[in-house]
Amino acid sequence: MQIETKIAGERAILSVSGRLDASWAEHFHGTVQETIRDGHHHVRIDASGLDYLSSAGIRSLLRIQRELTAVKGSFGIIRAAGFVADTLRLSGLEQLMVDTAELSDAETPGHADRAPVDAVQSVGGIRFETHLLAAQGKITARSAGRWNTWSPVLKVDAEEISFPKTVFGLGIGAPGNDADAARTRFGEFVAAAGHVAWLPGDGSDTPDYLEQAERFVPRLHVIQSLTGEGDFSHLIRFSPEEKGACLNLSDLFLRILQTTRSNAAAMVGLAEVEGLVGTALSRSPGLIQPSDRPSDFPEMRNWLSFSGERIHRQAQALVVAFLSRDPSPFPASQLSPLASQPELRAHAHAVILPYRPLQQGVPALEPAVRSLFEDNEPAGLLHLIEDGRPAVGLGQSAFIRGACWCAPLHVEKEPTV
Amino acid sequence: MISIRNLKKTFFPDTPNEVRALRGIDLDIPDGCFTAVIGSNGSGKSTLLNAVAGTFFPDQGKVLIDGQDITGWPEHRRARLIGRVFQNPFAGTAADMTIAENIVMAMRRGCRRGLGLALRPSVRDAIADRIRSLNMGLEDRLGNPIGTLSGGQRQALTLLMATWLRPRLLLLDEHTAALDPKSAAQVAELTLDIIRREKLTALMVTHSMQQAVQLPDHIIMMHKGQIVRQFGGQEKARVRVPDLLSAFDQLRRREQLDETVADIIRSQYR
Amino acid sequence: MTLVIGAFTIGFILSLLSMGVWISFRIMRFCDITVDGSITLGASVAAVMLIHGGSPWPATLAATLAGGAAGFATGVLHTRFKIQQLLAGILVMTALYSVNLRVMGRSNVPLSDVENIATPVAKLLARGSGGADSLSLLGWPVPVQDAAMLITVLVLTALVALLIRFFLVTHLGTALRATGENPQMVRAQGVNNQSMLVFGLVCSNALIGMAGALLAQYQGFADVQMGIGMMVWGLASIIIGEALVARCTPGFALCGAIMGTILFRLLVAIALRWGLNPNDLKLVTAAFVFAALVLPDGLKYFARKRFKEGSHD
Repeated sequence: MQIETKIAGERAILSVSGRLDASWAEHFHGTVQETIRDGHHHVRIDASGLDYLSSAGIRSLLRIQRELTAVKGSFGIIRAAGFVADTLRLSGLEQLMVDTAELSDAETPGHADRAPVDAVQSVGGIRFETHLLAAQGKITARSAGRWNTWSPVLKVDAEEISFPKTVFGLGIGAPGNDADAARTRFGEFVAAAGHVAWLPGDGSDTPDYLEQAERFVPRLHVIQSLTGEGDFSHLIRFSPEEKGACLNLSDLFLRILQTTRSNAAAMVGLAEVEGLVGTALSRSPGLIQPSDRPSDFPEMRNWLSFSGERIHRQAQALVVAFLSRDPSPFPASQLSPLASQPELRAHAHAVILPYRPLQQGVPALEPAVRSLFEDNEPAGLLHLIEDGRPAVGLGQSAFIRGACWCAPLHVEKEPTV
Repeated sequence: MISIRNLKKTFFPDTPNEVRALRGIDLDIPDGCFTAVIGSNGSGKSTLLNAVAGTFFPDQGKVLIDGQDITGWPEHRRARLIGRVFQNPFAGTAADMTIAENIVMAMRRGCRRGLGLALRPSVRDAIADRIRSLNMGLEDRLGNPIGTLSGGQRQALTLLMATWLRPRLLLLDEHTAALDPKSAAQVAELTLDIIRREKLTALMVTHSMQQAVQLPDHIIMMHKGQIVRQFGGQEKARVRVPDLLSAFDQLRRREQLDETVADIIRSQYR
Repeated sequence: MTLVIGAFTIGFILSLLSMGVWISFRIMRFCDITVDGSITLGASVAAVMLIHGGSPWPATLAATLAGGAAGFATGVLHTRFKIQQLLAGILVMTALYSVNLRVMGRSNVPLSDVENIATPVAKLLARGSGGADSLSLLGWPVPVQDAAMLITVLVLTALVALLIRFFLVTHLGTALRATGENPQMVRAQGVNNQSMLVFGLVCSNALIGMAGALLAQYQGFADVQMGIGMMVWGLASIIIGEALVARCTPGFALCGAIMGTILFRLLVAIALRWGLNPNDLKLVTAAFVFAALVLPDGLKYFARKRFKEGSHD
């Protein structure tokens, strides 16, 4: 099988020749997905060179169509002939076959439904697109749970909070009938748009998750948390202009503060991962006994795990972060200084899912998160940290492209330490 | 019941090459339980097996079979209780001797060997009967040197030899690792067959996660001379290859959390 | 004719040596050079007992036991004290040189006018032939003494060979064979491979001691130098034997060892007759063993090379 990709504006035409069968379907799908990742959401398959199509091939065509429809893109097969055309027609998939005439359309589709871009800027090979969502948009932050890090968890440390679609947040917690039931399962969590994913605190890397459905609203007992509620003021979209360019988390933070013209902000982001560096609890802090010293090395190894390398490349991350410039309105247990930007404090958690393309323009957060969790299981969850060790350090988490909803922060409640 | 108590072994002590191969192993294998040991290279899994087999004596700790302390027994004395299959298909049989001669050796495993004729006709018939059950057509080739057989056939015969007299414990040291995939699958199947039929207690070292998931009742994961995880009972029923791989990955990451990382973490978790 | 009879007699005597070397070298896979010492030990023990009025059979038996003891020493040095095979053999062989001198009291003990194991047969033959000094064999006169010795060693060697042959297929013998080939497997089958090795070396050197005793009685003297090169001679015989028979079962291999020894003695006798300097004999033998060890591989190598070159055309 040979695939040749031709780009015309937002539209990509892939000329496929040979056989599209079980042995090639995976390769084909991967190639098309590469194209979609590069931001081409209007894909046409030139089937003139294709001489065989099996059910496995049809399956991958339909998969691509579904993915593109989800991001308001378009998909079609042009110049299908002979066996391939017959197969498609007999399978009732005529609607996949489109006329070549539309190719001559001078206007590239998609531009029409695109919201006006307020500012485009290129920095370090990254193209930033900023959209103003609500001029007065701001997020009210709240802190819940009063666990004193590294010490045994007391009954009063836990607080139960719910996560309707309007609330996003991060912290350490677990679901359960009461705080005692949750005690053995505390782990990092990420919440956004009615979805909550958390590590089950038993050493497993795979997060469990809950999503809002009908009248069910996910609830967690949290021992430390920051949650935000309100309207996002801006959407920042970024993508690489040069091959291999990527955006460091701290640079994203700086851009957010700059865009929102504030000293403290909150963000929810969906981004393709270049590499993540972080830690996760491998054992519930609810199990800490007064005699334990979890902050001592090597005992720390029993309680925390470190990513050890830059992981989850090319997966999609749902990132929730709170950040502020010094002096911070938050206590030290909430935000920690960044190694690369010491005047900046932040706390960021990311849940990792398989890659899903994101709609062009200004997508809404809630459907984008929902489509990410659809048919997909979260593969990991990390508390993102910077590893600034000289020579051996892994650096900080970075992303290839993504969208970031953000707003200035208003702190509602000063948590007691 | 096989019991291993606080077993320790250090190779080349007090030299730059010092290897603390076993750092206090405690393990109980109940009767009829088929246990697999997995672990990365140098995790001490083969050392554990060899310590049980008596290839060397441990620095500390005990090995008990049915309450009998065999820690001080030499290898050949333990053979009365223990049947073994090695990784190398050539290690378990004498190549220049015939199939029948090899097997007749196994028929007296751990017994006194006198001046009686080894291969009486009745014995030869008994061997042929048993070998027929392998369905490898070897029953007609009893007089051929065992070295003329393939690795898989030799390993199948070694397995038969190790279990000819019912051992209290069967030790399998990556016994399918050196075989081609088809033979490996055959030998693995035969292994499970014999263990289930004879209700043997067995300890198997394996590199193959697939095998560890499919064959045994219980999985032990070793790392740096210690047992770091066990999968038994319901958990064993649930465990799949990716779970084992991720458990290994966690071990690797655990190593990477060193003191400098701990400093970073302390600065972030306050 | 005397020459042929002599070659056969020495051939049968040295067959015991060859069988001993075969046990250590081929069965136990142990390069045992105790041989050079233990054959002399056998000879000197037998000689000393004979000149002190001992009867031949007990003397031969004592020599056999002494040889076994030498093998035991080598085996223990190797297994208990972890001394390398060759070094263990060299140590015992060197020690035996002094022991042999002590046993004999001097470097050479002549055995003229003492009874030897062939004496009863000689008397029998003499009676049968009516008191004549020699018998007629195919028209050639053969001294009664020589004929008696030949018959005795023939019967003795045949008996010993049969004994070994049957021993090797018993349970113990099977274990012994397996020990040399795969000690690991043998341990796993509950056999103490170290004891087995010692046992094998005892058997091997006992046979060699017996050969020494017979050689001394046949030659009519025991000499402290007589053992030099015996191991290589035994090896040469085995190699010839293996060329004569397909080396598979113990029975064939034993026959081969005997046939090889006799053929080797005949070749030596012919070579000496043709004027080979006896001093060069050991060099020639060593060269022969070298060639026999190296040539098969070398031939295969050349055959492969030629085959490859041919396939290019």
